[in-house]
Amino acid sequence: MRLTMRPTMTVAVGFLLATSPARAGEVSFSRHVTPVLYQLGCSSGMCHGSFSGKGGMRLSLFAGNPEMDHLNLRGGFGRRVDPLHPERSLMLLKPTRAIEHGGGLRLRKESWQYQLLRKWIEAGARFDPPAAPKLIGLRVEPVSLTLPPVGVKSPPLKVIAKLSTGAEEDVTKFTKFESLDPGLAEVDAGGCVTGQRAGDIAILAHYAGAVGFATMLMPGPKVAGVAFPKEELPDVVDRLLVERMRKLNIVPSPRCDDLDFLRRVHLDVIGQLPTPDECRAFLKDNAPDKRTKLIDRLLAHPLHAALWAGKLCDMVGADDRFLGDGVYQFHDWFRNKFETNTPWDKIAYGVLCATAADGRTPDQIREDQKRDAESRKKYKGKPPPAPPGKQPWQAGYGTRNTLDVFYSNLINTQTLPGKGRTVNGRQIALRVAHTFLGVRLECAQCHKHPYDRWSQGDFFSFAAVFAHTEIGVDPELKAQKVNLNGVFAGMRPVEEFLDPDTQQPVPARIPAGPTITVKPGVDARNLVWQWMLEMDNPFFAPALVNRVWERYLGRGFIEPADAQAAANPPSHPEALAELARDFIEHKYDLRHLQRRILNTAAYQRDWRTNAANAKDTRNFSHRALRRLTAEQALDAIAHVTGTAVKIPKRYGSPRDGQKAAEIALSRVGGDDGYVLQIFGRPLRVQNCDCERSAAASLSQTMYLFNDEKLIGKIHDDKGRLKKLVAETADDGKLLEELYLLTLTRIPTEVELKRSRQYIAGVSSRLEAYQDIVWSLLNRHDFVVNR
Amino acid sequence: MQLFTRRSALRLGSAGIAGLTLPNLLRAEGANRGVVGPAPKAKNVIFIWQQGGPPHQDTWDMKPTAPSDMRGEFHPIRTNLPGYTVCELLPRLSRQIHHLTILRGVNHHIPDHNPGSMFMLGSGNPPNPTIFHPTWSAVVKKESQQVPGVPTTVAIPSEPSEGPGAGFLGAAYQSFATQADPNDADFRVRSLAMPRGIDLARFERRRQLLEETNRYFNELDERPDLLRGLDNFHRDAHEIILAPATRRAFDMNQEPASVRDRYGRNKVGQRMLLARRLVEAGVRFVTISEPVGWDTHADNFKRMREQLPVVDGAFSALLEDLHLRGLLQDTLVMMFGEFGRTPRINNQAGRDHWPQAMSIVLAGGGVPGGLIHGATDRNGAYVTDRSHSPADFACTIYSLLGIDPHKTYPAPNGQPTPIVRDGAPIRAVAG
Repeated sequence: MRLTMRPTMTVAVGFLLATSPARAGEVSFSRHVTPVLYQLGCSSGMCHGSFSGKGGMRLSLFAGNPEMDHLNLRGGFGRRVDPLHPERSLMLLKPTRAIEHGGGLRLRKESWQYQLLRKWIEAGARFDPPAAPKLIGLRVEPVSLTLPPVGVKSPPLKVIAKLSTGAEEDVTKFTKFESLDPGLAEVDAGGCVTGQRAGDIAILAHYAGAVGFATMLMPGPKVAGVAFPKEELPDVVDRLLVERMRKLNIVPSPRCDDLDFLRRVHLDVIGQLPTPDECRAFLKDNAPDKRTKLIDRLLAHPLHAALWAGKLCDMVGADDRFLGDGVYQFHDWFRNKFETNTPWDKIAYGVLCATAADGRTPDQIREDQKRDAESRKKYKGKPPPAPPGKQPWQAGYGTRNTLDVFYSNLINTQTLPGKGRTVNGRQIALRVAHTFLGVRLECAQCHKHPYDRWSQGDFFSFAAVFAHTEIGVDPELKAQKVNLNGVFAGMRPVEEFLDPDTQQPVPARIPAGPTITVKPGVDARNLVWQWMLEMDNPFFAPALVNRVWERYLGRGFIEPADAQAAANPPSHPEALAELARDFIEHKYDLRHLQRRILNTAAYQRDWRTNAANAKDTRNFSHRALRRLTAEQALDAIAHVTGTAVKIPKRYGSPRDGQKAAEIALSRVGGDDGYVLQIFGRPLRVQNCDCERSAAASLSQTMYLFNDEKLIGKIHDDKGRLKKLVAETADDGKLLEELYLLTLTRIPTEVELKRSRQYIAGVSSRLEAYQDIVWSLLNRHDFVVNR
Repeated sequence: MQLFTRRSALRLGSAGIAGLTLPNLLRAEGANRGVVGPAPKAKNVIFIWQQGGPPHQDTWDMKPTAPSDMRGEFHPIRTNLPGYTVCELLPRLSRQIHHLTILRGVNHHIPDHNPGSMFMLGSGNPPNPTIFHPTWSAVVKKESQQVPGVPTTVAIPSEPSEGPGAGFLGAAYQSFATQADPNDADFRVRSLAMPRGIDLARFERRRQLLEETNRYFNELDERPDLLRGLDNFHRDAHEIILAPATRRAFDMNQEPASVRDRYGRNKVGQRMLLARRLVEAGVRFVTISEPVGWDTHADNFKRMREQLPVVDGAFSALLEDLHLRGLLQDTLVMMFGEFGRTPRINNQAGRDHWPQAMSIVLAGGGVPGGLIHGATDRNGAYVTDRSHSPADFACTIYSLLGIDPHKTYPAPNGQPTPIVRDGAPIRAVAG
């Protein structure tokens, strides 16, 4: 259960402020008092947890910072807590409304919470001594619970805190429970859950800055007449998913038919529609393992690497407004790595630990520099063409070990005093966290992450790691008489980040780990990379596994797929953990991971639903219909009409004859660029997977319905249709060809009959077929990946 | 409301303009729909989304007495509302305060663009991983009667991608996006006109073919949102293509050059002008996404010197124009971003994210003129008077539009879900 037991990062940080050692059995401030204040609502954003506090009294938001809370409670001229006369403490008088309280009645005198707070005040209102047990983990029991019928309360959940001493403590009564969707299940203060509707949802347990969760299952009614498909499930991931569905009375759809599979796997893995010949050959193939073989073939297809290169360019923000030509370096580098199936940990290394030297010896650098100078002279400053038989990304920048442009892309827009170009440590930290940890850190820039363990201090010490990266002439190499201008691991940070409390510069630190002392030979980034690869790193492997799953299944275990957070638990923790374990065991082999997912029953289910799964959206019970992505749509239109994708040339590296799936640029102009735009291709300006839109829109329909350029492609004299119509006299044959070409299926009798009628009613056969192709491109089943 | 004097501007409270501008037509329309909400004051909305979060203290909430590392480079100037000052880069708008309500008390706690935008674009509901609340325009589309051939909601050039979009209402309630920029010399909304070589007969003939054969997914009992959206878009596309008046509304060349100049020959100015044209043509909600953004982590003051004069020129022209054409009284104009910016100026001469304070600008549509509602402290850091949540703000807007803010729609989980979960209308604004 790696995922549910993530190491806690910020709970109970240091205990430097403690005054004197506390006696055993005393009330702990951070484990008892602040959780009670949180539970009572005192530290919520609307009350004392707001930045301005309330009524002059401030508490940390969601009780995230016990030290600060303690200082504040001891402030206020000693009136807030009065150990000599505990009952006279404002901390007790206000919430009981013994005196006026803006927040109303929060606490009753006869409650155990009152007694607890009183006891703590009486004992001296101290902060916890340094030796006090610290919270290191949180667990909810049971992990999963099938609820009684709607409206009936469950027995209470139990919340167990794991302490640094190895002891465990039942903290249920200090816990604040929260349902992720009260429309599905409600939870009361005592942890009893009441189901509202059929489905499954997580209940969160907030305690002392940590979050645990348990999954609630609310079975729907058993539907008569819908049988469970008879299927073998060799993959444990499928068995886990089906086991959950059985508990929920959801019946999965059976395996999809061959043509549906062919269309789906082509679109998903290489971004293209299959050709009619491929359709016919696949139907004819009787091999039992033909799907597995096809998956292997497509994973090795050059366009597969191109698709993932594009995805990574989206993730790291390869925006050509700033990069210009450099955007090709990004795309080539990633494409090269995916094409050679470079393990994910090596790709992460290449981005994180990038330097201009790229691991070369001074002699090699000198040699390369000499060669580069000659090449520049020969090709007049333009990049040299790829050697014969090689693609551009198979030579040149793409073959480097590390991607140093990642750093030169994220620089400060203003020069810092006395510095030239400097990296923007914060931006890099955000990108790295998003790309490799699947975590959005933006909140932690300003305060403790409200739904996660990341504090502002964590964020700054993470940013400080990257602030040690410099751009300029590497002094170490210069000492060896090599003049190399670029990214290198510096010894001093280019920018310092101040601790919000002490105003002292924060040191570089591994998240949840020790401070890094940067000295010659120690690249802080390298230590962060090593931390990512630790077996129990809760972020690195699951982040990628979840994204790959999301890409193929249409929904992540964690959703949104790039928002791993303690308060956003996965829908199927065991399945995600299993895939992550396997991914690590196979040394971060991306093709292995994808092969496994594409071979699951979950991936190959029919899109047709039954009465027992039509409403399900969370359990992968059937294929979720999705719109073609921007690149898929543009390539599919080119494929159907037999016209090339036209991208206006920009910058120095035009690449002719490329598919939309291969485009490196973030801003694509021209008529075809318009198609990418309206179908939601991201501009790579946001640090969020959500920048790519999957929604249908009126602009898309208008384009397919009525755009002059699209009609031009269908009617193109040199296009596919004119030739096909001239070559194929038999309408039945031609219609089958066109249906396979656009919709990857055989036309039905009704469709054939209606089409023949249409052809008969139009004087020009070509014009009739133009209209038929137009109608096929406007079918829902063209624009949908099923 | 002719002859506006400073004094009357000051006196105009919530009772002033509200009530004067209520066309009976609107009440009738509301009654027809059977809406039991507040009586509508605003019929149309022009929404200018200032993505990135503009600096409240360098625009509408000047802090001349703040310490030097906070107060910024700009001087306050007097306005036509005695006692109220705005940034020196807003001279034209400073004479138009009689049309404006400025809210300085709305605040929240999310200093991050995406979730912060979810908050301010998602009808004032805090972001939630399991449900996306619909954005303003989607709710208006849902609550409006559709006129065939006229898109009910339009976004120039597109709906802000960082917001929730139509949320759980589904793709069908998204705005129609112009995609192109009306400031471009060759601006045109693509795919509107029938292509050359396709006459009406052929257009109808092949559409018939499509309609009769587009049935592949009909066997799905539960039609997912994607298919429902596509169904709607097919109908809308057909009607819009057959409506020449809609096409004309998008034609910026119909506008005299002098008018285009007055709005400013820049992206913001021409977007506002197009918005006015669309409202005249019957569009109910126009969303304007600003081209540059306000996320001034660096060079805040340099960028304000570029951006504020553009806003000043365009927004003041829009107010004058709407007023002269008698449209301002039932057209609500609103302008804001996802948060304000930090009091302290950082070492890049920028300001960072600050949701604890912000300024929201409203005009027309029944909001009081010359109302400055709420205040922040000396440094522009925290709200000291009339603190309101985004939910309060959302309730205010929907009340002005005659939409019950707590009306519920069924969400995908089957639960009736209110448009705005909490909050109450700000009475001083909504009446």
